[in-house]
Amino acid sequence: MYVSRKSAGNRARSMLALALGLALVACSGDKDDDDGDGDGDGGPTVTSTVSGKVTFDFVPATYSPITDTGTLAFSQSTVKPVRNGVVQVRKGTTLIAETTTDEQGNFSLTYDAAEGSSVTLYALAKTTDPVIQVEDNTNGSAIWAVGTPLTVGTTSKSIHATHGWSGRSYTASQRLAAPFAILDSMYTASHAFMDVRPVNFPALKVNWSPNNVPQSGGAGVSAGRIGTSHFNPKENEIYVLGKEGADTDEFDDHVIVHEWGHFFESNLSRSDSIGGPHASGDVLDPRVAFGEGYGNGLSAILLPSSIYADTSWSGSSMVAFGFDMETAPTPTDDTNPGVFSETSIMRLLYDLFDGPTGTEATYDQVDLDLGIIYDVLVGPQKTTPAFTTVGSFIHGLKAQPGVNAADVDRLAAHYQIGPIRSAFGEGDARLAAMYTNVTVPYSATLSLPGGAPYNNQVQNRYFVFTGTGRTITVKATNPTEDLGIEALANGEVAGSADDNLMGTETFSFPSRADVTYVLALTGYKTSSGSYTAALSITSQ
Amino acid sequence: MNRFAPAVLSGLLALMAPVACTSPSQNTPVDGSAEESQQASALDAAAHNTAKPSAPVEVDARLADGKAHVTVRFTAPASKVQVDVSGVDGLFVKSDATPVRGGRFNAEATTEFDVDYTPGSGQSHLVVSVSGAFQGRRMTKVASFATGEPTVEQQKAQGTVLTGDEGQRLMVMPAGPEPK
Repeated sequence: MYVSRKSAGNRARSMLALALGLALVACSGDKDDDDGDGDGDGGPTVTSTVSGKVTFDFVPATYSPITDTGTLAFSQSTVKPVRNGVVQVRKGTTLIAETTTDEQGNFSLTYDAAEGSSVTLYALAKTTDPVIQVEDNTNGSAIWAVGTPLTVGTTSKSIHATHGWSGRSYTASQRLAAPFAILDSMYTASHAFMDVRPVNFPALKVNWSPNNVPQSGGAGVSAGRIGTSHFNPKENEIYVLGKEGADTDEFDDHVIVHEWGHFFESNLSRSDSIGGPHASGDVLDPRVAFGEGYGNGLSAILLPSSIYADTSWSGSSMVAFGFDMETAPTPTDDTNPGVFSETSIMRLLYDLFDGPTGTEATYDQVDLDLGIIYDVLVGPQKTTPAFTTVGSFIHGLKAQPGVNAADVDRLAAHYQIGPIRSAFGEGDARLAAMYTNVTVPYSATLSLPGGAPYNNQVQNRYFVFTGTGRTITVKATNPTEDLGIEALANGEVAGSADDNLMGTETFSFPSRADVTYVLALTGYKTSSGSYTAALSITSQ
Repeated sequence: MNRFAPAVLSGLLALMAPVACTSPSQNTPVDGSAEESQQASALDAAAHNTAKPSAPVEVDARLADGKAHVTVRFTAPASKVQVDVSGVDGLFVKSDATPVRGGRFNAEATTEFDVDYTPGSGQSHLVVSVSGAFQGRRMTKVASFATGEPTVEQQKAQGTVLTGDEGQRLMVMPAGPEPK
């Protein structure tokens, strides 16, 4: 653990230097240059090289499934390198040199400036391969950075971002490590895949602020009201909580990678999940079950660590909840296992990756290279004609070279998932029953049970039909209850209608002949009691 | 110069920096009116957009005149439920800090309670933490509720915003001591 033991005198000098640096930063709009050498200072211009290391305090988020307790373990914090981090030298607001750190956090920068003058060295919460940057959404999306004054000619200078925890609370001015911890977890996740496959990640912006609270509405994310840590697919950005005394997630690396996983699936893979509330034991729509189980399972695979921990405050105490993604507790937390269980899918995915252990040997003989899992996610799972469920994933997986289908089936059976034979879930009776193959024109009156969230299995029905080459119109009607409909063709939305209304939802689209379409019908009646949905699919 | 002088000068210079050349602040003032009702629930945009796992509950609170009326709705059956309330940024909870202990609730059940508090100066937050066993797994959800308007001091960021000539904006914090 890194502990500062600077003397009071050193600290005072350090503060003076930092304040001078801040003043330089703030006032750097001054373009006066008395000696005309372009750097704003007297003295001849010299070429200087500064080398150093960029580090940050990493605080482990701990959780014990045995004691059901956890916390942020500041006493176990370690100094970690900022890998592939952008380092800059600026003269005021002018960027005069830039590089990136290596995998050990080391950097070396050569720049030209007036001898003996003062410049500023910055470490940005930004990587370049892939491009990930952590911004302050409450300050105009400025990239988080740590700066320190640098006298031209100094050859060695390192930057350290402290966690700022003083024992009972954060010292706000020293809470520097948070954006670098987020960056580190996402860099780890990205490079787990990049180490096994060539991957071209799009740039990712992550929004963190100490003002980010678990509240939404009002003044919005620019005031820190982000609701909770989440991935926003419309913006293609991630938001992370940072409010001390409520909920902070910067060191909760499973939470960070869970959200990164949603970024990955949105950009390189595919998710047909309809979102919504979910928990262990829920019988979820299989699109939701896979999406959430995937997020957790992926965090276990990529970090790699099987213990999920999410810390927060409860009163004045820091606490955590979590779970073991390798081993179910006794009694089990997977009370409704199978294709509709996010918990089953989470453990199945991790078992596909991890090595067989003694206790699991009877059902888990699968030890897949991460590259194969990547291939499935960006290949068949992305292009499946079915909805993205564990069925489409397993079907794509079993088609990969080197995968023993019987071993996969044995593992799936442990989670009460049948031997999948198609992307539409054939082989698992419950998943296959979600789909109804129909011929256009089609009409039927369906009965839904109600009394469950819209994202539960019982509120959803799937239909499979072939395009006619003409315009297809889909209608779903209930005069007193809300319904939603959406049709996909290999993951592309052909049409959807899902307004908050009672009556008829309808859409039309020009269908392509011989293309397979999947249609999802969703009911929203949360009160108990069955209700109907009159569905029609016509072609004109 | 005595040992305190550098610190005083340091503080003055640090204060001068944002005043002189930049004005980092929250972009938009929050609507911290006396009557507030914000729902941190599954219906918000974040929850629909792949939020982190949390306890399946919806928490709502109405804050006015030092009293909050809190509603917790359970979307899954729960047992051993504990609800803790606390304050951030100076808000002080005067009533029972754990209004629910050992509760058992069915899906769609709701529990409501009042919280007496003293707000902090400017904007402060009431924090509600709901924890319990949900179908075999203990989970937590934390929701916060703001009251009051942020003061000028609260709107100042700890760091300094630098806008580079090339257009890049940095939120700069002074570095800590170098590790040994």
